[in-house]
Formats: sequence, C-alpha cells, structure tokens
Amino acid sequence: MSQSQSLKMKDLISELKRIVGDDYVLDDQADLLVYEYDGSIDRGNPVVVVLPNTAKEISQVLKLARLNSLPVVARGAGTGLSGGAIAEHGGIVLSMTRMNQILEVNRSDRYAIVEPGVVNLDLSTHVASEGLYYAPDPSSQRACTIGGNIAENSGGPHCLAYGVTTNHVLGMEVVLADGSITWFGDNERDGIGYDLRGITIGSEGTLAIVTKISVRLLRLPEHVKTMLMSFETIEDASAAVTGIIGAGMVPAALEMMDHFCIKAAEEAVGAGYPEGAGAVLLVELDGLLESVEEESEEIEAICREFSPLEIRVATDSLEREKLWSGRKGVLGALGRLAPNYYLVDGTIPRTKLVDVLKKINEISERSGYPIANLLHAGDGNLHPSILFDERKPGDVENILAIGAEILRICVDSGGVLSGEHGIGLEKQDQMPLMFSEEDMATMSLLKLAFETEDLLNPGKVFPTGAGCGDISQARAIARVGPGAYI
Amino acid sequence: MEKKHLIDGIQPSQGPIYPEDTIELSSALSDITEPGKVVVPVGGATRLQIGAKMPHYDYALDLSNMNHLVAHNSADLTCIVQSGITLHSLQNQLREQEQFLAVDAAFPEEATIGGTLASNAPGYLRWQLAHMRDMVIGMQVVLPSGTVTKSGGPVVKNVAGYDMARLHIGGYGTLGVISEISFKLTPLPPRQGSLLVGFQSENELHNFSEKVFDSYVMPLALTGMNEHLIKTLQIDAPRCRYLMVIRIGGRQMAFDRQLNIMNKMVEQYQDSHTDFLEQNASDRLWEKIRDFKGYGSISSITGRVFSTPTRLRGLLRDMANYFEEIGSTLAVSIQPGFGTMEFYIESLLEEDKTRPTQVIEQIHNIARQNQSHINYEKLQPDLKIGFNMWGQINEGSLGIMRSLRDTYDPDKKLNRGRYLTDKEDS
Ligand SMILES: Cc1cc2nc3c(=O)[nH]c(=O)nc-3n(C[C@H](O)[C@H](O)[C@H](O)COP(=O)(O)OP(=O)(O)OC[C@H]3O[C@@H](n4cnc5c(N)ncnc54)[C@H](O)[C@@H]3O)c2cc1C
Ligand SMILES: Cc1cc2nc3c(=O)[nH]c(=O)nc-3n(C[C@H](O)[C@H](O)[C@H](O)COP(=O)(O)OP(=O)(O)OC[C@H]3O[C@@H](n4cnc5c(N)ncnc54)[C@H](O)[C@@H]3O)c2cc1C
Repeated sequence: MSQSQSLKMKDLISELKRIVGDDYVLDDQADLLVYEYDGSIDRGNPVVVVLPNTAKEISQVLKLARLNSLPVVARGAGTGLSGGAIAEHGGIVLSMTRMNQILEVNRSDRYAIVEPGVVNLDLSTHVASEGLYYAPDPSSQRACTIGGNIAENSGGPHCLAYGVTTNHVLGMEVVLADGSITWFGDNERDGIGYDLRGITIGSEGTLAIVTKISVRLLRLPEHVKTMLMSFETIEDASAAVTGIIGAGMVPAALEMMDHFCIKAAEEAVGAGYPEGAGAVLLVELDGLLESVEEESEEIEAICREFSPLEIRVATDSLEREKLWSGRKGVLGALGRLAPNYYLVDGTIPRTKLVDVLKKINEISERSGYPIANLLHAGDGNLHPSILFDERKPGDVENILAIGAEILRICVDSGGVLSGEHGIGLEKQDQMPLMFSEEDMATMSLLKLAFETEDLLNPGKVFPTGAGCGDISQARAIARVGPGAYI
Repeated sequence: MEKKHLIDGIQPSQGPIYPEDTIELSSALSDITEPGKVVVPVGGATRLQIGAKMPHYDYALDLSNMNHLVAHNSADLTCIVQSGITLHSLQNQLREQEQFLAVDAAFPEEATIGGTLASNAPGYLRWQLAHMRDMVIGMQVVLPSGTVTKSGGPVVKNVAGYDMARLHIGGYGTLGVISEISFKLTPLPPRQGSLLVGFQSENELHNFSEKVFDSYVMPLALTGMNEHLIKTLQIDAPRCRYLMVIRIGGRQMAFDRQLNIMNKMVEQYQDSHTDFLEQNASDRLWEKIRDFKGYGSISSITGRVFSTPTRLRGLLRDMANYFEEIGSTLAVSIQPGFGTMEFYIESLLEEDKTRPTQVIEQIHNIARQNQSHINYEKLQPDLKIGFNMWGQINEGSLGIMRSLRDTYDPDKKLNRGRYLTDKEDS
C-alpha cells in the first residue's frame, strides 16, 4: 500500500469509528482473521470489519464506501456454504450481529418485525408462547441469522410443505448502495408495483443491505407425527418418495439418508436404525389431528408397497426427537468415516431420484471416493457428501471436480445448481451450466438498476473464472455448535 | 379489428400480432425497431382496463395462440405452460390427474396465465395457499429487444441466480413479455364444501373471522361481504346484513372436524344464519364471487385496498359510515386472512359533476387514516386523467421501480404510459 493510500485508509477507519463508535470497528489483523471464512471453501481478507447498530449507521458507512469505491460485504453468522460472506475483494465487512432485536410481534396480524442479526431459532422460541412460529428452519437455525436467510433464500427440512424464506417475508427495510433507506413491501400481504421484496430475497447481498424484516408467523400445528421407514435399497426408498408426492401428499418434512449416513449416525448417536438398511426415510406430518392420521395411513400404505424393513412411529416430542436424532447427527458423524467431507447442494425433479442417485453411486465407485447421500428428498434437494482427506495431495482438486460433475448431472436431469445454499463464490463458474449469456446478463442488469456500482458483495453469483481454496465447511459447522446438521 | 384490443377506446395503429411460439414472439419484438412504437402484450384482455390512460399504441401482441400445456409432470406436482393458455384450459387438463394450480382469478375462460401473473390478479384461494407468485418456480421472458431469457426451473426448490420471475409478476408487462412459466401444483382436496354464516353486525363478522383465524381450521378461502354485495350476487342468505363464506377442503375426517369446529363457533352468535354447500354448489358460489368484478355501468368504480387483517375493521366501518353519510350504496368484500378489501360503487353520476373526484379523494383519506393502500381496478377513462390509479408507494421503492423500467425497457416499448413508473408519459 502506498503512503497516500494508507493515510487514506487511516482516515477511513477513523471516519468509520466516528460513525459506529471506536469499539465497533475492527482492523487489527488478529481480529480480522475470524472474518476470513464462512462455511465454504473460499476465504478473503476484509480491510476492516464494522459492527453497526442502526440502519442510519449503515447508510453512512455505505456513503463513505461509495465515495472511496470500497466493496461492502454484509455478514450474518457466517454459516453460509457458498462463500457469500467472504470479502473476496477486500473492503468493508458489515457484521450484522449487533442488530439482533425482535422489534415487534403482532399476534393478531401474525407478523413480527425483526432486525437482520436475529438468530433464526430465537424468533420461533420467542413467539412460541403465543402459539406461533417462523416456518423456514434451516438446519443451521441455531446460529444463522434472518438477514443471511433472506440473502440466500434459505430453506430447511420443513420447507417442503411451508415454503422457503421468500414465501414468509412480507417486507423489509433496506439500505441501498447510495445510502438511502427505504422499505420494500411492508406488513401487508400484497402490494403494488414490481416485487422489490421478492427480487432482493436470494440476491446474496448484492443489491441492498437488509436492516429490518417483517416476517409472517404461522400457528403452531395441533398435532405432529413422525415416521421412520427403513428400506433395503435406496431405490426402494426413492420410489416411495415418488409414490408419496405422486399421490398428492406434501408432508411437512420428507428426508432421506443412505447406508453411509445410517452407518455413521448409528455409530455416533445409536438412533436404532435396523441393520442392513440401504436407506431410511424420515416423514413428518403436521396439522389437524385428523388430517395427520388420514395422511399417515396413506403414506404407510404407499411405503408398504416397497417392502420396508421397518416402520416406526412417534407422536410425542421425546420419541420424535429420538427419530430425528440420527438425521440430525449425521453431519457430525461423517467425521467418523473420513477426515473431511465436501457437501454438494443441488435439486432435481423428484421423479429423477432413482436415476440420479444411481449416477452418483457410479461416480463414487469409479473415483474411489465414498459419497454419503443426505437428501431433503421431498423437494428433490440432494446433499451428496464426498468423503476425503484434505492432507492427501490431489484430494481437494478431485472432490471439487466430482462436485461439479454431480451438479452437471442434476442440471442435465432437469434440475438446478443449488437448492438452498446459494451460488456465491462456490458455484459462480458453474452458472453457465444452467444459464445462457443472455440469462446472466439480464440478471446482472439488476445491479445496474439498483445502482450498486458493483460495490455490494462484488464478484459473487456470476462467473469470473476464479479458483478454489481449502475446505472449511467444518468451521461453519462448528459455528452452529454441537449437534449441527444439514 | 378485434374488440379485445380496444384499450380505453384506443385501437392499435399497426394492428395485432399473433405469435405461435417463443421464437415468433421474439422476432416480433426484435422486428419493431422504430423508436417510439408502443406494444401492448394482450392475454385474455380481461384486465387491460387497469392502468393509466394510454395516449396511443401501435401493436397488440396477442398471446392467445401460445396456449399449450408444454409438460405436466404429475408425479412431481409440476407443470410448464405457454403464457397464453387460459386458466380454464389449464385447470381442466390438470384435473385429469386430480391436481390444480392454486390460482383462481376471475373469468378463467378468457384470462390467460400470462395476464393473470402480469397483472397480479387477485383471487380467493389464498388463505392457505398463499400468493400466486409462490406457485411460480421458473419463467421464460422475452425482453423488449426480443432477447429470450429464463430464470428458475421446473424444480420446487431452487436458489440458483436471481429470482427474476418476481419482477414480472405484477409488472403488467412493462419489463418483458412472459412466454413460458413453470408452476408447482397442488393436489385437489378429496372433499370440498363451503359454510355460509350470516350476521347482523359488522362486529360479529370480524369477531367470527378472527376466531376462525385463531382456530385449527385451515380454510382454502374465506371472504366476508356486506348486504349490498349479498344482494348483487343474489346469494340466498335471508335477513343477513353481513355474510362470511368459508371454503374448506381435505380428506373426509379432517373435513368433518373443520366443519364441526366452525359450527361450534357459530352457536355463540344469536340470530346468525348458517348454511352449508356441498362441493358443486360451493364451486358455483365461489365462481360467482370470483367473477364479480364490479357493476356494468360506465361510471362504476372498482377498487382494492391493501391492508392488514386487523385494520380491515376500521376500514370497513369508515367506508360504510361515509357512504351512509353521502347516501350512496357501496358493495364490499373483505378477505380477512389476507388483509384486503374490494369495493364496488355502482354509480356516482348525479347532479354534481365534481362529485366522483370528491368521493375518490375521501376514499383515499379513509385508506390513509387506516394505513392502507388503494389500487383501482376500474375507473372511467376520463377520471383516470390527472389521477394516480396506482395509489401511494414510497419514494425509495418508486425510484428503484423507475430505474428497473429504464434498465429493461429504456424506450418504454411495452405498455408505455400505463404503469406507475411512467407518470410523465401518460
Ligand atoms: C450446519 C449447517 C447447516 C445448514 N443447513 C442449511 C439448511 O438446512 N438450509 C439452508 O438453506 N441453508 C443451510 N445452511 C447454510 C446457511 O446456514 C444459510 O445459507 C444461512 O442462511 C446463512 O446465514 P448466515 O447468517 O450465517 O449468513 P452468512 O453466511 O453470514 O451470509 C450469507 C449471505 O448473506 C449475506 N447477508 C447476511 N446478512 C445480510 C443482510 N443483513 N443484508 C444483506 N445481505 C446479508 C451475506 O453477504 C452473504 O452473501 C447450513 C449451514 C451449516 C453450516
Ligand atoms: C370484463 C372483465 C373484467 C375483469 N375485471 C377484473 C377486475 O377488475 N379485477 C380483477 O381482479 N380481475 C378482473 N378480471 C379478471 C381477469 O380475469 C384476470 O385478472 C385475468 O387473469 C387477467 O388475464 P388476461 O389474460 O385477461 O390479461 P390481459 O387483460 O390481457 O392483460 C393484463 C396485463 O398483463 C399484461 N400481459 C398480458 N399477458 C402478458 C404476458 N404474457 N407477459 C407480460 N405481460 C402480459 C398486459 O399487457 C396487461 O398489462 C376481469 C375479467 C373480465 C372478463
């Protein structure tokens, strides 16, 4: 850095301190290290980390950044799995963790207004006494923030019936790149004009910084029933999934694990899965007591067509937790099978499960890398996890190539590059698999329309031809805490 | 000249174009290069009356020949359609597999899927099944230049790339022409029916709907209406000043339980009138409700108010009081689950010529006092002049909307002058 630049940097830092207070600007290398990573394979060094407390402060920071042509990257809990929160081009990281207040809960209109740093699960916990909850439940919900969820349009195991983040956000306050503060949508369920709310959700922090969010709250269901079905083969389990959806049933959750996951979970948490099972399905139904009972009967009947090894049913919360324990314990347990794993995220039409899983299996056999399959099967969202050893020369390159091959299979089968983790840095170079030049150019025009001058989270989502780093999914998983699952 | 291409009395100067597929649609748009030419995408032309009055237009881009169900993957509960397919034709084809698209806009025999999405047409099936935009999983759009682009895809969970479809839903065909859409579908409930509950007071109507909202009942649709609307729709609900219609569906036991819960609730209201309609009669009633979009006379007005469930109380009260004061009648329906209200004014043309404007201003005041927004669905063309059809929107959002319009359709080739972004052109 030249003398004049570094002086300028000094001025900038003192200006930032003036805006948010001395304690909330970090520029010490040791402090910055924590902000180098998220849950993805990438890393990048911000020049400075700012922890604002209000939209006004963010507005001032953005004005300053624009004046100095500095990139700004918002950061929630850093649990993202596609590099969204990485400051690849340096600049300012805006850590939203201090903005963590639940500002309003309106029971009669069923909405809450929250700050972006509110941890997902905290909201549901907060409103539970009112008989309400916030439906999108990413597996990282104990750590990830609602702001991060908005940027990634996150889903979760229970999004099958209830929809993902975009289906639950009524409106939000945003700070635009020029520092202006405005609302997109509000507490109403409908509005006039282009759906700016909708287009900002899932835009991975590239269009605006979200500073308040109005979310829909749902009534807690009267009854919940969880069923665990074990099958001899993954083909049988997949066929059962297709059968359930094809029969017009949309359970609250419909999860699947293959024999690798079963083995790992069994060893780690002793969930009691039957020996020799090639796959298990975890089905959760909720709603009116009668509808849960009627649908569970039908689902059982469908599953029986595929000769299940066992069907277990839980209706109270303790038993339910036991059935989920294997599913929730898988991720931590994969560590028992190999030093590292690389988790891929893609979606396919649900009718293609058998086909695609077969192809993934072939890749595994051909390459010699075991692949554990963990699926939000009900919506066709696959998480094949490639097991490897980071220390072995060539392993990282190999598994990244395998990941890319799996995504190509997903796209070729009519599916997409990401079901819930986003594109970020991780998959930007694979975007052409799905989109033409014109598609991507049309999308990136949005940045022009939002007049971001490409300073909000630059270099993400669209292809740049950049390379890869080391595998740090484990770090993000640690951030979620003990018992993290995907 | 087709009558359906007449918008606010104006015909397209160069006539209509009928593309058969996306390629023809694309070349039709890229062939129109002369600056200043205005193209209006036309679906069923059922909602072309919405929007500011247009000074002129050159081409009606009529999508009625792009009317195919491209794919129906029933085992995956998804489908892909061309935008010119009518709702009716689509629903009929889906019904064969006991599925449907949870969208129930008015006049389904004419209304196209493209127009329904572009105009964000309201429907009643939204209590439980959320918003029409939540059913869209992918979209192909032809830009004003003729460039074909897509976003999303035929899978139900997807976060790859920006969710561009959102811009075109409610965009009234001002950023591009929707050519194909992927939808997620809903299984048809095995049993359906409707409960009608009549009340004597507004208060009872609101209390009852709050109770339903608070219970485990999950209505497919729920609407409340006042006496004038009951009469206009010729619904058999004798001596009721207010009526709530609740549509429920599900498997047999779940259906019965929901009905029981509501019947118990009704017992608490004296003088209430209840009636139950089985599927066919229920379907017919909902068609009637859905297809009523205002009175026939030229001076009639139809508006929608966007609000929240609890604010509907004040809104309904203030509107009713005002219309009583001026001695005019007002038909109203409310959707408490959604927080919207529709109002229908039969006629205001009386002795005093300035009156309609005064009434509209007062309705705006009432909406403002109740922190709600109005959007006119129907307003006589001369009232449209000098009047904001689109209601209030905050400056920050409007700025971005204008910028979007300038970015994607810099020449304002599509629907010039009609949308809320185009004030200076109308
Ligand atoms: C163990 C584990 C399980 C997971 N399970 C799921 C799952 O089930 N479903 C799922 O969808 N994801 C899952 N994830 C991924 C991740 O948790 C989600 O993407 C989550 O939404 C990220 O939230 P965060 O607060 O950590 O955001 P970060 O990682 O900090 O940031 C993510 C993106 O959001 C942007 N951003 C953050 N805050 C704002 C703001 N206020 N305004 C604008 N942009 C902002 C960032 O710039 C970045 O682009 C999982 C991750 C882990 C580690
Ligand atoms: C006489 C009558 C009156 C009605 N009045 C109302 C009413 O007041 N309120 C109400 O809620 N419903 C009303 N409806 C209901 C109406 O059926 C639906 O809302 C309908 O879905 C609109 O679809 P359409 O194909 O007719 O669209 P059109 O009326 O043809 O078009 C509506 C808008 O969408 C644009 N558009 C059309 N197709 C496309 C496309 N493929 N891509 C991009 N833009 C496109 C047009 O340019 C226009 O701006 C009415 C119907 C009728 C028959």
